[in-house]
Amino acid sequence: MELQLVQQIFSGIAIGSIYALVAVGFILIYKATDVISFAQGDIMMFGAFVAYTFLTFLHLPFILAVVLTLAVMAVFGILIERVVLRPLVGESVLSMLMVTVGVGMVIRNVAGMIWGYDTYQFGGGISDVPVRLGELALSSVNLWIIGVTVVMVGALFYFFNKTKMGISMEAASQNQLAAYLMGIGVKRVFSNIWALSAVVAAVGGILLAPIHFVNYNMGFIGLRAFPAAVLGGFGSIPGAIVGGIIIGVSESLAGIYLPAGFKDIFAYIILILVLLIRPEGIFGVAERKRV
Amino acid sequence: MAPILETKNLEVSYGPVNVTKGISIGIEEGKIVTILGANGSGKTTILRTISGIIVPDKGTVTYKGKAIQGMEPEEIVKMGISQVPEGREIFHDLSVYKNILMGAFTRKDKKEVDKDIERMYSYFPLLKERANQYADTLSGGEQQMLVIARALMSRPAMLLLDEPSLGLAPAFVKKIFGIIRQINEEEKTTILLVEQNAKMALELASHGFILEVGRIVMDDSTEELRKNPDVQEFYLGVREEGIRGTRRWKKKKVWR
Repeated sequence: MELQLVQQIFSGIAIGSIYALVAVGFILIYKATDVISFAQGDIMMFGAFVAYTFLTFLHLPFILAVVLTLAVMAVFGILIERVVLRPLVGESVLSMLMVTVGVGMVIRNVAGMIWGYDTYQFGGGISDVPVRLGELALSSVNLWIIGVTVVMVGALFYFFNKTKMGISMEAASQNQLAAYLMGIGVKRVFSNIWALSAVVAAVGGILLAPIHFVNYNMGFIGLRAFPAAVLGGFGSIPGAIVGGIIIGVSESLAGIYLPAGFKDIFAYIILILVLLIRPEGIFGVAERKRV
Repeated sequence: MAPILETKNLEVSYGPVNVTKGISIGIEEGKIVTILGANGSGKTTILRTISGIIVPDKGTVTYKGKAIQGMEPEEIVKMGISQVPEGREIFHDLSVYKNILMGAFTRKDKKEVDKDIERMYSYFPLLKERANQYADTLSGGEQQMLVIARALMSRPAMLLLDEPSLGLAPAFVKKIFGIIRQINEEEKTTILLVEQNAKMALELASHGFILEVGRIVMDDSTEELRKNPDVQEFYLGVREEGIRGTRRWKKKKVWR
């Protein structure tokens, strides 16, 4: 019984890591541009398919395929920003938000046209073997997912705190006028943020592939990342990560201990509870008025 | 000597509203020059146009002999013009240190940047004490020091200051003006100071422009400006009294 609990928590952390990565994508774009990108889940799906193509059709080695995928996705993110969102600068946030919903649908259906509507599988470079720790048997895939997520989060932390480019992205999200006056190319920064969030989403997609299969509809899992982002306090990257893991673990436990069906809606039950009890989220700060 | 910065017939409009109606000013290298004017007279618009935030409808901005109107702000910063915007536009959720660092965004010489940060700390020791605090925990005066330090980090040949005294306690205003003078003397930075605090600005600057609803109405040395009765009455608050000790209410500004 206890063993099962630990294993469930563990696999919950793994799936939660993926929610966290997608949620980080939401947050990056939201902090910089005030837009919530509902295309994030579909961008994740697209990344998984690109990786699938490199691996299965071009038979590239795994690492190379991943690197190429991330490069393709960075360009893809920049393209979305340039073609769809930049012309809307100055329009209301609501219209930008609706556009991202549309972008998501287009990506989903174009992916269907290219790769078909079947479900595919690729190993994500790792075979699923149980890793034994005493009596505990943990899935190597889950370990892999958690490990890569930890590395990703560490890299993002370093990027936003130590590199000039990362700090300038934060700066541009906080004060556009001042950023312009410091010589920071604010438009370029927004492109880069879309690129970065597409890359992070793609990593999530590649990690998700071994446990979820790849299909054109997998982007809907991104909608679980949305409650994760809200739970953490929309706007906080550590919050998004903690939120993702909480959602992942509670879903996983709901799947075991609650009647069938609860697993899929549990994220939203948590979302509603959070909004009732602590609307600003765990790491969120109540909106301060700035002068 | 040709001025380091010159605007000719600068016209800017926001929608149908003409904000500046043909502004021509020239600023000589190494000087402190001030633009005085009431709210809405177009001071901030002029500075933003020089920095490339606003593209003018008509007219030119020439810096070191090169037309810069309509260029990207980052190009203009690289050419050596830096601006301290009105209202202390800090990066509120970044540390004081990172705020200062962002001022050097366009520079590649990391070692020199580190040296310059230390130099800023010597100008403003308070900022060193608070280097790791979030910028929005600073008081208004400290934030003003922060944005001045940030603007200096690009090693500008020309510094544009937009109402640095706005909303500050008199002691801080004195301090800030002292530092502006020091920067001008030690670093030979040309300074264009936009102010509402006419008394301080006219003492500090050597040349001044008076701006009224989008037009330059006076262009003279500050010595002459201080003597001008209209400047005295409307900017310095000196009251002229009539024979019977009453004020003439019908007086109009004549600007001559």
